Amino acid sequence: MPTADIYTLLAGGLAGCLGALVGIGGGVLLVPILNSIVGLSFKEATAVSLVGVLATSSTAGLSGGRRLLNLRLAIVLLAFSVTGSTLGATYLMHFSERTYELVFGLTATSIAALMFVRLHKRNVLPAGADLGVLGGEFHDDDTGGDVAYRVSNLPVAASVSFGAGVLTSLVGIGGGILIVPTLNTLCGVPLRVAAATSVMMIGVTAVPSLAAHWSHGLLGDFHVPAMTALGVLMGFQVGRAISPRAQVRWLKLVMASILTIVAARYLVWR
Amino acid sequence: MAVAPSNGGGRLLTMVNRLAFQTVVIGLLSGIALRVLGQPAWSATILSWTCGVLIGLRVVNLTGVLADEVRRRDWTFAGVALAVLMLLAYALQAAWRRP
Repeated sequence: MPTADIYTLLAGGLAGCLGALVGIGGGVLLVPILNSIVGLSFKEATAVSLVGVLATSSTAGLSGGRRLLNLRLAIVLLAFSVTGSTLGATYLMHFSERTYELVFGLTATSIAALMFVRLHKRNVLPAGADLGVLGGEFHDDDTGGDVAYRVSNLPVAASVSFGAGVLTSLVGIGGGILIVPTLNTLCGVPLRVAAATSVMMIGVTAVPSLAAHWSHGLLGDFHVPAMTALGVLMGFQVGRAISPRAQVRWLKLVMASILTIVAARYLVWR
Repeated sequence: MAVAPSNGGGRLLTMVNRLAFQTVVIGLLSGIALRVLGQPAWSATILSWTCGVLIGLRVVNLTGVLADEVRRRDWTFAGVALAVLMLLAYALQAAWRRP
């Protein structure tokens, strides 16, 4: 097997593993690996990353997270993220490669900062509390009882979803890495519900941008996207297997450090 | 108190998801194998269809959500789901018609 294929498979595996562990699509790591190590152009790396994001979302949809998914919240936010993604897809070929790299570098910087300071809020109310239109109830494994939550600051979540959609098209990140902390820290959604809702959203949000990348011929002969997707499927199973023992807090710290280096690579060392 | 949101987990939809997922795995493995066996054209065809299944699966899931909300006669959320589907349809046809 060629070395590039091995790196691609490993990159997909890493993205899938992260998807299972922290509920993100992994595009934020896939793009720099495919661009810097495998040697794809930035736009090709973005296109391949979107296939990885779609594979993560599809795999997660089959795992046990559906009971935590707040489908109505996802649908409302999808109206914004898909609009952003469709708009972003329109401007896919309008700017230079360097511009997209700068956007990616700035996004990676913001995400790294967000991960360093990110809080884990429980956001739960007693069962039977007023949930509002978009709130929900679920069985909390931590406490062993049924708990409820209410969604607040919907305009903030909608704005972040729109921005995540635009970024999905322009730089190939799924947006989960922005949506999960926003829903958890600013909108009153418990972390596990936010992750399950986000992972459903990122797959749908990736569709307009992936179609646009495909139509511009950025998926090539589909070999690299296939290796990535295969890696994601395998990595997701590994992530699920190790998630009960994984120290997610340390994982996030490591990831935030890697993102800082990635951001520096795109913003400074060019 | 509001009704807790549905998770859209109809039995039919779950079955479709599993079937599509298995199709994706088989498509990826056979596409990669064909390339290794020196059939790049067949490989590209199968892998592009597999990619299409991945995209189609998301659209089918969203259609399932729409059907769920219509069955519950929740017209607000049915309207939002329909709007998202229409946006996807617009984006897909714009990509399809691109020269």
